[in-house]
Amino acid sequence: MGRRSRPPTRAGTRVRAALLAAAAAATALRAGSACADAPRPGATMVAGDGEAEIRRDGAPLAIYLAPGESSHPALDPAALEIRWLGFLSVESDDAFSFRATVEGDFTFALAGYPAATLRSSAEGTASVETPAGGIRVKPGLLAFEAFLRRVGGRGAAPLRLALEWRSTQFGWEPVPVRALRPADEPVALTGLRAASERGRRLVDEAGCAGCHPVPRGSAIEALLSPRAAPDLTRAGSHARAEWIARWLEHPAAVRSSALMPRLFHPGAEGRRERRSIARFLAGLDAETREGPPPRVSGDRGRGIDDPVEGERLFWARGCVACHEPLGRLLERERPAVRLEGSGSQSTPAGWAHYLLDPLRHDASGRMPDLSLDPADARNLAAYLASSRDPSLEVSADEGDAAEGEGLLRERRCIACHPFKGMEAPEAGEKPLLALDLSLGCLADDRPPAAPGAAPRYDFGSGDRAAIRAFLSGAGPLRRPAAPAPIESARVAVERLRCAACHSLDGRDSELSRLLAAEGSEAPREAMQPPALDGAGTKLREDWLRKVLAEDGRARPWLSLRMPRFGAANVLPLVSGLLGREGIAPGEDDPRAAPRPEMVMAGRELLSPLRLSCTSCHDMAGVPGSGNRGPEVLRFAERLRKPWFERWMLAPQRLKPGTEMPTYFVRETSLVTEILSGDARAQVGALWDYLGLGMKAPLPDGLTAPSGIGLVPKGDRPLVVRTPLFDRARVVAVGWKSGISVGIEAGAEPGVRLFWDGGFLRLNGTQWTGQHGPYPEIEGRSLAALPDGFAWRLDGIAAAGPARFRGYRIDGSGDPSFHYELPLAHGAPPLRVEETLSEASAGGALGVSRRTRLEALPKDQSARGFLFADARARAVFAESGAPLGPGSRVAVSGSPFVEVLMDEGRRAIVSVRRAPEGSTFEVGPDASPSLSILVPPSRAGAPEVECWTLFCGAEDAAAARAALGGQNGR
Amino acid sequence: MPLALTLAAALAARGAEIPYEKKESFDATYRAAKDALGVPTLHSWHVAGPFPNENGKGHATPYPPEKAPVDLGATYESAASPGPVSWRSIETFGDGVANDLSLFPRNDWITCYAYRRIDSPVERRLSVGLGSDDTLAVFLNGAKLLDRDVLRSLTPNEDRIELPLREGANDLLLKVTNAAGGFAFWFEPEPLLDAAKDREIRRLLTRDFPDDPRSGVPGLESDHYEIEPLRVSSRLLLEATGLDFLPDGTLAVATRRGDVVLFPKALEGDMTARLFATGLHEPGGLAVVDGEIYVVQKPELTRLKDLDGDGTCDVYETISNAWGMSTNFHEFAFGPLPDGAGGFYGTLGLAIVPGGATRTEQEKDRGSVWHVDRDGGFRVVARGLRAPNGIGKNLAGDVFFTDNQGDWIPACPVNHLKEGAFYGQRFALEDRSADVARTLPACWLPYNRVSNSASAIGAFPADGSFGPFEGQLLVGDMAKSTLIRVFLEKVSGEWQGACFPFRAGFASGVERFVFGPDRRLWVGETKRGWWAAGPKLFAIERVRYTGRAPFEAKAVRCTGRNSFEIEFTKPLDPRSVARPEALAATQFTYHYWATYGSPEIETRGLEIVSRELNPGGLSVVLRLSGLEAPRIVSFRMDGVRSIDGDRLLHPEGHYTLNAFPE
Repeated sequence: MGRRSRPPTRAGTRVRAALLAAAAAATALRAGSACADAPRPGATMVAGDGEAEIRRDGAPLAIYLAPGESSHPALDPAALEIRWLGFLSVESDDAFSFRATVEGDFTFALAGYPAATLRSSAEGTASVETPAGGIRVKPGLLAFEAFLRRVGGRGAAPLRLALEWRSTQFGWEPVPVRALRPADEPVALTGLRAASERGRRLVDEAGCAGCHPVPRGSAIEALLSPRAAPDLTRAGSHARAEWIARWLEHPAAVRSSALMPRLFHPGAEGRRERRSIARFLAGLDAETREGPPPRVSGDRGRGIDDPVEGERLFWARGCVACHEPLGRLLERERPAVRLEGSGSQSTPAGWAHYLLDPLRHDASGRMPDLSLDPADARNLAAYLASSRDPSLEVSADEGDAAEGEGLLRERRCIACHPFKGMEAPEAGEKPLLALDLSLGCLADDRPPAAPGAAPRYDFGSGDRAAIRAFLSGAGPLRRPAAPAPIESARVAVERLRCAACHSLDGRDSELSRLLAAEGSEAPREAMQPPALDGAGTKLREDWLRKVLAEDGRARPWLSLRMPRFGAANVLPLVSGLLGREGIAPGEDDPRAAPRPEMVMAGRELLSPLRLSCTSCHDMAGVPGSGNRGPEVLRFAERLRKPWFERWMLAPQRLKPGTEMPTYFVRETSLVTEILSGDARAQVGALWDYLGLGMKAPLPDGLTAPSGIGLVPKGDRPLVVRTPLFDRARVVAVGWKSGISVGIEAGAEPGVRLFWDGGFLRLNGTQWTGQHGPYPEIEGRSLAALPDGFAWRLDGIAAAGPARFRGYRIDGSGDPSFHYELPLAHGAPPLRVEETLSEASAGGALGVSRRTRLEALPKDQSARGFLFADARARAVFAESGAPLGPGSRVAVSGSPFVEVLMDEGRRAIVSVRRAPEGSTFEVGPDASPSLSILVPPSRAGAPEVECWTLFCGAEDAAAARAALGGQNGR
Repeated sequence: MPLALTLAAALAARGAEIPYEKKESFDATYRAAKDALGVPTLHSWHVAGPFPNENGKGHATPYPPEKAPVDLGATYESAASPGPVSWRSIETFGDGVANDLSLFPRNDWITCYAYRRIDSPVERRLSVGLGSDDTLAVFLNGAKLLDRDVLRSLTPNEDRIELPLREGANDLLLKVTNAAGGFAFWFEPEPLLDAAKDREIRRLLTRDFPDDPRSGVPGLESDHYEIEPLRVSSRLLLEATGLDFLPDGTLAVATRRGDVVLFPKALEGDMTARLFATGLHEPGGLAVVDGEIYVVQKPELTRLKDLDGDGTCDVYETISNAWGMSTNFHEFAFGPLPDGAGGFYGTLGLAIVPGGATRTEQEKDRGSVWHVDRDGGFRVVARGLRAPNGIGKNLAGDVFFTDNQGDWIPACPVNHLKEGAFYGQRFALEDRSADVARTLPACWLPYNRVSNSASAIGAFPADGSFGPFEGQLLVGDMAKSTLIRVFLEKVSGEWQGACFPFRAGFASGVERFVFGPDRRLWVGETKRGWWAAGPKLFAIERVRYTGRAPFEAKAVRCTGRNSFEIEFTKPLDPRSVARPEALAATQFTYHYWATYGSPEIETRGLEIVSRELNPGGLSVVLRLSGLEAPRIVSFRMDGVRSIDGDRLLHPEGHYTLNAFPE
């Protein structure tokens, strides 16, 4: 057993040499441009057993392996030696301490800082720490090396490392992946060159082991997933026969990312076989495809079967993380699956059913279940189905379904695809590890397949090289597999593309990169699921299992969905994610019994008058307002206490840029009245309180509705300046009748919003607390007018944007707004005064806008914008005649124009007063808009009084009558 | 001098109540006076342990120390200890602090006892607050007074009991057991001696033992500056963010909720209010110029006019709304500071995410000082601000403004406004990669020591009506609910100087102030959404100078590469200055970084090479070694006494040494 007890390996010497070179390089790097293509975070981890070595970059400085486990199936657990090397990125001149929890022989050294050396060589768990007081460290990249192996090479012992550090700026924490950098020199490896992940993935995805057997119980078997192709029994539910036939002819021609090989001869016989199989499969479950789409219950206020909404959901639900949007190719690191021609594959109904339960069709979890609701599914299906490709709709008539069934077995389809009632055949070809890697499927130059020849894969030369690289390191892969949960988890993370949505190894997710590249305005936290780094030290094992395998969701309101991948596919992740961070399965910190007095202190701390956690967080099912945060009463169910403490004490440390406020500055709470302001005691009290879970007694005042409901009561309207929606400068005017108007009070000012059914719910720093939630309207929006100043002159151009000049409140309380439009050619600015008051007619309710154009240059005609809204459908004259784009109607003969809105609602625009000769004009735009043309005026300042009234279909007739009557009076 | 006479009479009357008799020493005299007042003496703590607490049974099991009167020389057998257990004195334990009992090799699942003797000159009851982690029992003279068999963490004064002290020696025994984790107790007696009586005794002690370093009479802020709360209808929600007086003496107050409220009889102390204007968007300040009210609201600078003379505003005239703005809650706008020529200065806060970090995207002009001229023309004067919640002028008309700690702002500063300057917050730059020189503050207000969230800034009046600090600056602090005093001098053409605590104890967070025609300081206060020491959500108060000058360090001046002159409001006792421990100086600086705030770094004690009292005794010149710039030089002056034997009201000052005088 000499091999197992030998001192640090040959690799160790090389590693040190590499480190020295790298340290020099890093110094040079710092001296030069600091930002040049920074290496990805995480340490380099080299694991070996004396015969084979495997390098992984992006690792944390932690590991836990249970007795008998290895870091890779091909590495001998007893002889396993793990070495971490790379750089610690230190950002500030500070004093650091290090400590490690260790099982095994362990050393840690930091180049240039002998005092930072940690050593341990004890059986059982040991804890080693650098001397008290810390080690003064200069900022920069510090080369480090750590080494770990089982004491005495005993495979029956666990192996563990959890390295923590602290400085004067932060308390003990696991050294975060983002503070680590890999060794920036190649590290020569012995033995297993097979670390080619791309090769492994291709062998796995291409299903090579379906035909070429691998040794039972071998390392390579452990690295590949068994039978992972879609279930053919269900293929007919979302694929037409025509499409299947074309697919079988050349899968990669239908979908460039397809890994399925060509199995059929290109000639007539092959065509007939393909069509037979297609007809057989398409007939199996066609009811779903042809039948009614999934039922949508209730009114969601959004469309269904709407491809535009589907496209929005494609981004919002995270489909884009793995699929290309239709008609586009985004720049990404790993190719995504294209969906062009999906409309030729299946019907919208077929897609909708498929999307609601994809795991039923493909148990591998590669297309996971996004927990869509039926309306989402139908909108997404409409989007998918909007892309058709005539070449995928060729006839499959000549096939024979009965023959097709037999061909499934004959053509070995069921070697990879499950089919109910058919057993997978034995893999009968040459063993995978005995292949000549230049022949067969991997031959660089292959003639067109003859009938019955090897399947024809569309591997590129790079693919083939990667597969060869993987399989040529065959020796160790043949060994009996050691249990290696961390590697299994890594393989699962790769297969399920977890890093498409989650940041991992200190790197942003692909999704966040895509969103950034698209300039997405989605709130950052809403589209950014939690990082996988640190998940092991953050989440309790039970909760991790619930999230992965069940429906545990901490942020159910996110538009982005944590998919369900199928328990069998994701459960290996649990022990791997824990082990990766040095945590043993079953090692959840015990939940101590809450201390009653601490519970009460915690309850008070959390209340709106103290830390006010519920300003953002959900509590007892009551949604948090503003920047919504997870349910507080489930923290103890989800989180580990040490993580909770670190999070509370320094949230920015754990998640830079988080919206979680910092309540504790240098161990002192902002609330000094409770527990003397002791930060740790307060965090402990919060924990004890939250430990009561959903049964906890709620803090006082929690259930009161957030914000101040402002309701106009007297005869005078309320005039309140506030931010509203995304507008910073708004004057809101609300009358007792319930009608309200929002006026833009910045550049290009004027009326923008109409709503009814309430006035404002005021919140935020001005009204209730510190930050969000922000003020919002109460009731419902009636109309939102487009941006831009309403008035312009036909003869003189504006010399700049119109300006807001303030407002006057007259004796009745109604406001008059003052705007100023600078004019070109040195003309004095046009001054516009707009007086708002209530108006109504026969059940239609609205606002009178009385506009006075002061200093209108002589002989100028003016054009005033009256109304438009995205929900407007059509415009009708008083007579009921439709007014198309460009129509003009003389105002004198027509006191009002009616705009048909969605859901049958009406907006009635009635000009009560205008200079003689004024006309309505319907805009040329697709969505109807309405303006008034005011002819040149002889006297003074022309005035236009326009009413904008709103009503439902049922009140429209009465409103018309009232307006007509009033007009006639 | 009727005032002085009245005071003297009051003091004489108070003195009469004090049973003071000079003895052979300071200690004996003080002790005798306290004995005469029945003040008990609490001796130091002793601890014995560990005793067992297996399965949490320690609390209920009587161990030897509680079975007989405590003998500090005794030793006990304990199953939890390999050797005998004896009493040991723990000098570090104190009153009103957490006393950590983790003194043993193993501190989980054990029991220990804490003992102290209390000598009382009379039979009396002493109220004490207690806390423990975990269980607690209290025995006085063998009788159990409290029994708390609970698992808990330390909460100060969670239990409150009265100790029935007998005359002479009393034995106080605490029994504390620990399950696992924290192990500590808390003991805090009621104030043993009334502060006013103590001051009087110490005044006499100082007279009789002038050379004893413990002598000296502590001052009280309220003797010099009295805070007068003003009762305002609570329906007004007077979260004052701006206030000024109209020419007729009417006080106008702008509130966070967006109202402007008038108090026509405020000067008479009658706070009957009239709503003048409403619906403003979170005003950040108010000023009266030529009888008209100007308000900075978040979106604009507005003039409020009452055209019809009915006492309410009917025209809200936009003077300028040229600055960029989003809906972010933190985009505050502060001002308006009249420029004397019909225009105004003001400041703009940056947008931040609720956590406190600055938002990456900023609207134009955020984090700046702006100027709007008489015609509404807007321009940015200087940049690099984060949350500049205060702008004001000194008596000469130089403009100063405050800012708040955050990223790139290591602590709250007082900045002098200079055209085109950049004050450090890089998110306020249009080009954040630009290499722009940072203008250092005229005075840093060291975080937590002096300021947490600096707000309003203004100048002491020149006529001495607000004490002997004519022309110095006064700065508010929201979180600490205090006022800070800042003395500035021009060194090499730039302002720099020192800050001092000035007055604490405001009812809520100090946000704005203005000197009234009554020569009092009117203070508007709010704390909603932020934490503040003052207990109330909002308040308006006024501060009156009582006419009694406090004994304070009035000014600190840098007089050379290695020397400072500290000026005091009263002549010093030369003997106190001569004592080495009377004065101490340290220097430190801050990180300039993207992290929120900064610790004090590169802290170094400075050796005081010499100290020289100037003729008249009003100032002292210190020669220091090791002085560097730029640094903040902090002075502690705990041992300095006035010739009357007074201690300094605030024995600290912090001088921002950006440059040495040439």
